[in-house]
Amino acid sequence: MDVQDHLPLAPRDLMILAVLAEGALHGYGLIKAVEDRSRSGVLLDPANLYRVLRRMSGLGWIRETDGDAPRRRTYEIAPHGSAVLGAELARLEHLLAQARPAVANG
Amino acid sequence: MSGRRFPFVPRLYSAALRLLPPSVRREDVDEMVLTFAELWADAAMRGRRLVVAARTFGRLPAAIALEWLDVLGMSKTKTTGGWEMRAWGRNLRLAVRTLRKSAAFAGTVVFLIGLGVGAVTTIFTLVDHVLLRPLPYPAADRLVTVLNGSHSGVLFRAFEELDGVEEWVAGNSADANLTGEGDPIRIQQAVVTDGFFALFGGRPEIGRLLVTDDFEATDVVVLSHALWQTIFAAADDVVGRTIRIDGVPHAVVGVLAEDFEPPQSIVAATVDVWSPIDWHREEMTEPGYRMLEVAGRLAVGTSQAEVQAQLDALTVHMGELYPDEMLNREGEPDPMPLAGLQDATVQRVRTGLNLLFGAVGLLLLVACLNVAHLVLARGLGRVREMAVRRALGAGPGGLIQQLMAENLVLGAAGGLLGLGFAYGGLQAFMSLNPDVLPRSGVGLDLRLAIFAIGMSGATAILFGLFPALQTVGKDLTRGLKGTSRNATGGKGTSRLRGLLVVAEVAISLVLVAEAGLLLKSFAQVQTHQAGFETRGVWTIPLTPTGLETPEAYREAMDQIVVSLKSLPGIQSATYGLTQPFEFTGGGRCCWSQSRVEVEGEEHEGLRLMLQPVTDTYFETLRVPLLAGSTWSATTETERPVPAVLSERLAVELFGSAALAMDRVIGAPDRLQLHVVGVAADVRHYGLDQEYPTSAYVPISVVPFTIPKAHMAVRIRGEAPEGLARTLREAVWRASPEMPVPSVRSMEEWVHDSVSGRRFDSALFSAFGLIALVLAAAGLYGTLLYNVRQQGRELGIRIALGAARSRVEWDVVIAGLRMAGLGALFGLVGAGWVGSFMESRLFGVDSTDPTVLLGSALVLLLAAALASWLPARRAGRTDPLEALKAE
Repeated sequence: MDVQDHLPLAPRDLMILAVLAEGALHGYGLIKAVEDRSRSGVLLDPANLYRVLRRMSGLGWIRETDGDAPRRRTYEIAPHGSAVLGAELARLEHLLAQARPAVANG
Repeated sequence: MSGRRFPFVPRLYSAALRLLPPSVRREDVDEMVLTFAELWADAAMRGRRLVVAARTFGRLPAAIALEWLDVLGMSKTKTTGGWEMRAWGRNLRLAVRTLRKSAAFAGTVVFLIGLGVGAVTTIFTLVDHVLLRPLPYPAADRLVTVLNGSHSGVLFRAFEELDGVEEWVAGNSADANLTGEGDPIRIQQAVVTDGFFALFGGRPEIGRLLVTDDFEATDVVVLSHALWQTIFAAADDVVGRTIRIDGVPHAVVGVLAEDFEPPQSIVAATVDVWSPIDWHREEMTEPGYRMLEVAGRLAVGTSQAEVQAQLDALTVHMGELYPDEMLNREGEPDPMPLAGLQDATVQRVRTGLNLLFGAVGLLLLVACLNVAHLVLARGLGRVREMAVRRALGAGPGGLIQQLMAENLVLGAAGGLLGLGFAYGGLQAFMSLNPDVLPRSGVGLDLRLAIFAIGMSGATAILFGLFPALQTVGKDLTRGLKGTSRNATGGKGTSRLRGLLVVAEVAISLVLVAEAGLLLKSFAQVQTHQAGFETRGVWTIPLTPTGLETPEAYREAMDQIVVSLKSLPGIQSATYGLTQPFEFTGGGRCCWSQSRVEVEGEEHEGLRLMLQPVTDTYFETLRVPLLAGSTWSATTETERPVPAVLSERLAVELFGSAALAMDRVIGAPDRLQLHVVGVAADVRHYGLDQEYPTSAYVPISVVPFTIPKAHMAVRIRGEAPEGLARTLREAVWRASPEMPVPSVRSMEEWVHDSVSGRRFDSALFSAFGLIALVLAAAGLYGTLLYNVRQQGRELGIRIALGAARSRVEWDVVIAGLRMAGLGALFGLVGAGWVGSFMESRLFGVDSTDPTVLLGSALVLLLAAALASWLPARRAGRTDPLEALKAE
């Protein structure tokens, strides 16, 4: 499936991919990392998080990896996920570039 | 998920996650729980628990619903599944949207279902765990026990000869003192026969369990998992160590696995150490030394009746062999009934639990009736909507499906809430009343979650289907012509609503009356006086073990009394084998005689309770002496033994206190008592027990070293800060190795002795109150609805000059008529249900007229109030407004 078919991403999906792009994390670490960017407005809870993670794994955006935390499942971003993330960011930047002058010029 | 213990909230989260579809559970639940636990720990640290709980639990239902939709192929993202399933999916989504718009209605229904289902699930969990679930032992259905008291070693050997029983085991447990591991502590020590752990499926965590060779030396112990963890810090090297139990060194050979549940018909609920029984002790060959509780496993294909027949023969045989020990006072051998181990274990609580189950069942019914009300009322308001949709081509099936989808959503949400309530309820129940259950480890599990959800689903469907049919089945044209008046539904509906109210009131009355009976029993018990001045008395129960002779026992205890007395603010100190309120609720200890003889004449049906105490007992407890005086240090060695009788015993034996003085009780060849005084009656065995027929005797006549002594001190004025610590240290000054598990005021003992009744009355009062409020709410809702619907009629009446008070009165009368009818049925029901709880009542008849009529009155008052509010509204109807509205 083409990367573009998945865009736009839900803010939640975007944040998860963005956080994972910086390094592999397990569930709690993910929630905290997203929370730390609290101005993103995205807050996660375990039940929904693993639902999303399962879907993303199915789509091949992320995959499980052997993390440093033993016996905990750790996720990292997969190449396809990086592509989706990159496409979404490019889309948003393009959108911003188009929209911002309207505000800047008052 | 199992194995690791989480705090309460993460466990709650984990319990809720069990509602996820199985495939999701297998894959992700463990991770979710771990993640939640970390999140929760973090939240706790930062004081943000409320925020995090709201976020995580609040989003849970949506996640669960979405996962199920995925699994069932009904979600938007997937296209699998037939059209019907998709219709259900669409209907469910539509239902959620519709219900969101009437949040008050949805919230109330969810709360009501949650309340009812939560209460029933709580009690059902207990019933299931205690009564229904097989005991956690191999071949549990073949395990049997012999009732009618404990058995002697001789008898046990005879049991082993019976045919058709594969294996017999025996054991008992008692307090013991563990010293040398920090502060001395009191523990429970069980002694068991070879094969005990094999029969009950015990496994070692480390080391080994008991083997046949251990029964030669017997100075070995197996530790319980709990003791190993708390006292020995779960150290692996504990095996091989030597510990001191009652001063005797025992080698630790192993630790029992955590999941072993001690069989409570044989040993105590929590046993700390297990030792082999010592068959070499002389008592084991005495037929009168009955200390063993037994269990056996029937061979496959053997019936209880076959073994019972052999037991009956054995009973007769034993009676011939040992007439002194094995025959009762009538010269008959006591029967030895065989019973299933499970029945024997849970017998004590069976009626109580069934009663509770019945009560919560009624509560659920009231809640359901209220739900039916609400759904019905809402349905009537939507007759027009349904008519329009049918006119536009929607089939009745589709409409019903949509209404049922709403009910399902309500039921599912209610079930989820109920599960939460049940979890909290169980925690509360176990913490309030932990000792009542003969089985341990009660908890929610998947089966009960299914039970709860299934029940709320059934509730929602059953109580929603009929209103749905009513709503959809309405005549199309009438619905469309559509004034609100036309949509009120016909006579049938209003009669149905009336019936619901009557049923609710009747059931509520039953619950209120039950609560009333228990409350009155509780009040009756409280009016009883202890018989002495409980205020200012503090007691210290001790288990002095390892003292070889009666003299050593007394010397050690006397030293403790001296040490206690030397404390400032202590007026006097005493000790006895027991103190009042130590044994309550039917328990008796420790020394009694069933043959009471006065001057050669035997008194039938009297049991002499011997209370060994020191001479300062009456002074310390302030038990008034009605005649004579207590013995002194010089007279206590006289024979016959000087004794102070309780007033009741004096009256039963001799007619009065004065006549009892100087008389002698007992045959010359046995313990003879010389009456030197008569003391006022004391409710030794609890406020709800009769006065015992007691004889107080000097503690020096106790002919054995029973490891029990109960100190009591009277303090001057108020208890100073840290009194318990001071008293404990005083005991340790005299006897450094003595465990002092508790120091309590006599008022605490008294308070505890009625805690079961307090718990009963509190629980049933809560049930009664909830039912009362629900019934009143149902009545209120029905009347309010009627008043609204009759707005035009009322307006016309007022316009024509009807007095407002008259209009109001009519509404109240209508309400009271329904409530009155309900109360009538309720009274009959309450009388019937009351007969099941007679064993729990005290000083109250199950048909006590004050309680029954009082409950009816309370209910009618609540009904009057519930009717008055809609009545006022009716009275305030503005005729102009009402007529214009048409």
